[in-house]
Amino acid sequence: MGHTEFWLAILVMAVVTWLTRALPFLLMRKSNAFGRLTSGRFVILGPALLACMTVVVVYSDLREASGLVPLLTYFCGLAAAGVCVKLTRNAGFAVLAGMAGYALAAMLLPA
Amino acid sequence: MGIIRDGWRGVRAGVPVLMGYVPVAMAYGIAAEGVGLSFWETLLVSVFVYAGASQFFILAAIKLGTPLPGIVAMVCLLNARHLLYGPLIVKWLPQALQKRLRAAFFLTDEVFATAFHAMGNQPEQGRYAWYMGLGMTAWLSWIGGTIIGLVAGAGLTAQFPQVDQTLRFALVALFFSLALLSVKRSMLFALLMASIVTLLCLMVAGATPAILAGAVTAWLCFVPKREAAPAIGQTSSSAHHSSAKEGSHGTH
Repeated sequence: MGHTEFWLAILVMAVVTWLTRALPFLLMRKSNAFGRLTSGRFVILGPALLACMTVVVVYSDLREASGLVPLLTYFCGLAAAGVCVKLTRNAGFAVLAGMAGYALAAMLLPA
Repeated sequence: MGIIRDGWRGVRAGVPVLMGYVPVAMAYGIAAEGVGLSFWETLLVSVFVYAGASQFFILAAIKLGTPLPGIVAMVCLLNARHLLYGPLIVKWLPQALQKRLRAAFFLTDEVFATAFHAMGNQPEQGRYAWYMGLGMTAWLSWIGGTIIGLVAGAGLTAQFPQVDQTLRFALVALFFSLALLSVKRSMLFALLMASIVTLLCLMVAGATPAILAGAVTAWLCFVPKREAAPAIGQTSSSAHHSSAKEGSHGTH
């Protein structure tokens, strides 16, 4: 790929990426079809996207894990985050607890 | 002063995203160097494209010599899930199109997840500043991580592998926590089915088709709770209020 073609590709991809995020805002002014995504049966979409993204990141990480120890370490981190979020209802604290649980398990579990 | 205070709250909300972004952006910086991109080329891709998965795809495509239309088509597919994010947070953004289009630039998976959970809890006047604080934190940490990756190179992650792994776990913990916080009892079955479909799709296709298939499955399986019919004499405004409450996602 030549120098000019490379920069053209980057420019096009920057615009395309921004457009996929901005398009609904533009289209919502013309039609209320997108607006319906926040009511009725569509209220499930937000939580569903979060749940599906969680499945994707967990699966992508665990696919590369070999043996029982990395799996246990991972689940210790998830359990710490889960318990903390249930107790505090605060995602920031839960992330810190999850990282602490993960690091602790990585240190304590035999390699 | 109010704007600064609200913006600062957004910055604080972005700290978990920052902790997760830095190691991933470092990996991108290191990989870009390996593909032969210059410092500025790598950095400007992070500044302007600002899309994790797409950026890694760009590197692979450059390596394979993929033609431009093919790269653009794949980037469109990779980003298709972003089409759903805007409508779900638009009720908390200002009416002005210019501000919404500015906000769209920062709307990554992690920013959406954080905003979807917490933006409704912010004071109405300060929501935009809060969102921009969150978005800027995420964006700058992505750029910062790229620079660290370019400057420090692979040596840094090789020297401290456990720190690198623990930092990478931040994004997993973030998604997991936000997903738990947004779940309501009535959604459990639909979300379970969505997770199963996502997992099955992941095994045969990429992340974006899996996420979209999961979202569609949840929509198909979800039956919203019906509100009890208003008692005789109850005002129509209170009935409308309860129906609106059902319409909102109700995590706050």
